[in-house]
Amino acid sequence: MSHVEFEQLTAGYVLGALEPDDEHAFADHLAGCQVCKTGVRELEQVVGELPHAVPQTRLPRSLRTTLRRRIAYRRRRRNVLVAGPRVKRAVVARVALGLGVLSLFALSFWNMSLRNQVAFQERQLGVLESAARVLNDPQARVVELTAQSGRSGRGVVYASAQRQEGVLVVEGLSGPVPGRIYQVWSVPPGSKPEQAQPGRTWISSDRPAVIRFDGLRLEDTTGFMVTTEPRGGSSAPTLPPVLASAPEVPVESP
Amino acid sequence: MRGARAYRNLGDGQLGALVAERDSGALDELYVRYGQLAYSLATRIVADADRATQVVEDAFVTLWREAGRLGSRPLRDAGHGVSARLLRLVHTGAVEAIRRDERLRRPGGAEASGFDLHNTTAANDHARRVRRALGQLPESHREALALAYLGGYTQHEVAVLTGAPLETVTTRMATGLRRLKDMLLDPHEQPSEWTTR
Repeated sequence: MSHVEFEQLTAGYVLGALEPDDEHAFADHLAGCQVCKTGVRELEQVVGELPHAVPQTRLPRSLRTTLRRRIAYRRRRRNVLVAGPRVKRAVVARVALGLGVLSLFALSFWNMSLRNQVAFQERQLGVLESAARVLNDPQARVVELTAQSGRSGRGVVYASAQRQEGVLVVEGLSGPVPGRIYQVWSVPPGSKPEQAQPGRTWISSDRPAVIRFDGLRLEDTTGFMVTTEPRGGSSAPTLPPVLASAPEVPVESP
Repeated sequence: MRGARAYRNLGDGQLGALVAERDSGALDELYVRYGQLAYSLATRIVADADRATQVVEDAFVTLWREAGRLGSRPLRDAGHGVSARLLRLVHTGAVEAIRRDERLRRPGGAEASGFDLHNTTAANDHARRVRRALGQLPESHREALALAYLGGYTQHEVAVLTGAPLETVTTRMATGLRRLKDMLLDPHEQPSEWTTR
């Protein structure tokens, strides 16, 4: 059978009206003929329209139930790949919820940072207020601290014997080596250095620092010094002083 | 159920893709859309209502199993690939039924197997368009198509029933379908690739 003869069978094939022998022969030819494949596709679409021209009959109710049973129909909540409007709304709602939770976390973190910052500034303000009270004490003694052993920096201690507290204003110190901090000491005459109670330590040295301290015996002849100590402070100096009031205070080796 | 409305907003191609992934809700939606059309076709071919019901049921189940076997790619095609496949399954099942058992064939021959061109009150726009196109065909062409498609007769049988030579019947069917294609199909529309038979 020629290609032209097969083409003439196309309509009968899509209508299901070929004799069995012709249908098998056409199916074999179709497998290798692109022209006939295209023709079949087009006419199949036309044939697919023909059911619209038959009298419409009401569906029996039992048909859907039986069909559902045969395909093991299951009601699913989330199996639609392509989102319809309701699904899209649900997705948007979940994204909004997620963003809301994230925003809440961010706000909480920001709030904590602000509270820490405010607390720090309040502590600094308290230090400055105490320093102002010491500086306003007409009896306060002013003791100058100078750099020792080739170190840089300088400091001034305002010591109020009446209030039993003092303020160290220091600047120009080179930073302590990693793992160490600065610590301020009082040096009563004829005695070993005493640490403030609690110990007064700090790290920053690039900018001027105002260190308030108390818990010391502040006599007229009490000297002061600053040493570098292990982080956390020491109960007794472990290294020679960086700054010290004159005359230089001798420090015993630990 | 939550998914039901979402299915309603999907196109046939999308439903076909979901059916291929064993989404029974998608097949249920296809039933809502095309169940009546399928049943109407089956009852037009098969005189027995129970047998027509069985034909439609089998067609949906075959589509369900076939979709899983073929994969989702051909089902994603735009157009009416899924519905055309379903209706073809119904048609094939119904014709096989009446060919196996002549008692299931509608009595009345060509007249009983005709298209319904006049009752357009209950039809939608698309159905009205199809019926109008069929109405514009010559009576002999329309009769040949109806006897083959709705009567389940082969071309040889149609030739005997109408008294026309086989070549004439073949030409009437081919010409009739091509004229319908020109009237009904968008020339820019790509035919579906799902043409397994």
